[in-house]
Amino acid sequence: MSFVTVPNFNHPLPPNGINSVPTLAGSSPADINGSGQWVAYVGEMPITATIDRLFFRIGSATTGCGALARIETVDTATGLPTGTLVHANASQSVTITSGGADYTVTFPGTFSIVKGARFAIVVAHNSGSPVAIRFSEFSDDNSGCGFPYMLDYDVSAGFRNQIALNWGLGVSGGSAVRLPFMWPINAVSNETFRASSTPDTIGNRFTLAAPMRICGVWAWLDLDDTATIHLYAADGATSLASVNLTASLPPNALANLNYHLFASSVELAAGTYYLAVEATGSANIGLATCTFPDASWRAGSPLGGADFVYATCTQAPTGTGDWTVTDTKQCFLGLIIDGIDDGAGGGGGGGETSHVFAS
Amino acid sequence: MNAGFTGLPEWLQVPFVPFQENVILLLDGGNDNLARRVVTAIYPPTGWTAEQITAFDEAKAEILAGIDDLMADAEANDPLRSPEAIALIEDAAERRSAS
Repeated sequence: MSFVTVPNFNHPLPPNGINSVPTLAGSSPADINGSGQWVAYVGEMPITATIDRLFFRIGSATTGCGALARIETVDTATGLPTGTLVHANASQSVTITSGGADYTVTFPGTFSIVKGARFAIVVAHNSGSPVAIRFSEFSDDNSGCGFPYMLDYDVSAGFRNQIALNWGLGVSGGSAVRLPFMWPINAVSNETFRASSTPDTIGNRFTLAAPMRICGVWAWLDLDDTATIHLYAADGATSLASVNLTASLPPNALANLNYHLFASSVELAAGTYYLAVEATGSANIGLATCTFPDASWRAGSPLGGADFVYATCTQAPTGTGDWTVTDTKQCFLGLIIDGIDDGAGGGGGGGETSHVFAS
Repeated sequence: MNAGFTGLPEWLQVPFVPFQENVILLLDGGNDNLARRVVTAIYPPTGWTAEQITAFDEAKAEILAGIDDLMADAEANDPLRSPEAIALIEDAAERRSAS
C-alpha cells in the first residue's frame, strides 16, 4: 500500500440537516389527499441493477386508498414523470391502509435499469377516497438539492419539495440501490447508554473495499458526559486508534454532529473493522441510530450501505465473539479519511463491496 | 421578493430588520410556510405604546399577506403548471390508468 494525501472527506457522509435527535415523521409536503395525486422521486441510477421491489413508509394516514407503485421514464423538457413505465413489470398495485406502517411492493417480475438512466419512482392514487396520507420522511436530511428531487402533485398546491423520503428501491437477490436523499428506514433513535450500561459501547462494524488512511471520526452524539471512540482491528480486540471526548463544551443539551481527529492517522488495508463509541461517564450519552424494515434494505442506506452494520460490546472486547451485530440497524457514525491508496506497490486492494458516492 | 418589508416607515421596520434577510431567503427557496412562521414569531419591542403596537400588528398582517401574494404569483408562473406540463400530467395519468 502507498497512500496519497487527500483533503479530508467523510465516508459515509452524515445527513445534511441535523436538528438535535433524529426524527421520522409524516410529511405534509409529500401526501396523497385525493384522486389524481401522486408523489415521485426523480433520480439517476448509480449502478446497473435488476429491480424487484419498492419500499415506502407511511408516516400517517386518516383514510387509506388503493395506490400504484411504479417506475416511470422522465420527460426531458419538464422533468416530470411521463406515466410510461421503464418496463412492463414496473407497476404494482398496493393498498395503503394506515399510518406508521411499512409497505414493501414486489413487482410482478424483475427488470433492469442501467447505470445513468433517469427514472421516476411514482406512488400514485389509484382508487378510493384518501385523506391525509403522508409519506414518512427523514427530516434531518431534507435540506434538499437540485437533483435528484421529489415531486408532490396535489393538483392545486405543492410540486417540488425538499424531502428525504423513507423509500427504497430493491435489487433482486436481497439488496437495494443507494440513492441520494432516500432513506429506506422505518425508525430512528437516540440510543442512550453510560459506563455502567450493558453494552457500554455502540457503533458500526464496517468493511473497507480499498485501503484508506483514517484520520478521525464523525458521530451524531448527545454528549452529556465523557466518551471514547475506538477503532478496532478485524479481530474485534486490537485498538488501532481512539479519541477521548469530554462532555459537550460549551454545554449543549442537544444532539449534534461531532468531528474528532485521532492523534495519528491510521492506514487500513481493505477489510473489516469496528468503529464504536464507549460511554465512560456516569451520565447517559446518546448516539443516533436507524432501523431498516429488514436487513436487505441496509444496502440502500446512505450511511455506508451494506458495508456498515450496527455492533455493540461491553468493554473491553477480547475478540469478535464479544461483539453483537444487528443487521437491521446502523449508527450515525463514520470515518474521516485523509489518504487513499495510489495503487503503487500492489496488495491491499479488495473486491468492490459497495459503490461510494455522496448522499 | 421583499413581501412588504421595505414599504414600512423606518421606525416600524426596526423589529422586522433582524429577520428580513432570512425570510427573503426562505421565500426564494419556496419555504413559504416557514417564512410565515418566522414572521408570525416577530414581536414589538418592549415599551412600545398601544398605538405603535397596533401599527406593528397591521404591518405584520401586511407582510403575511404579501407572502401569500408572492406565493400565488410564483405558483401561477410555475413552469410545472404551464399548459405543456399540464398536458403531460394528464397524458401520464391516462397511461397509469391503462398500464
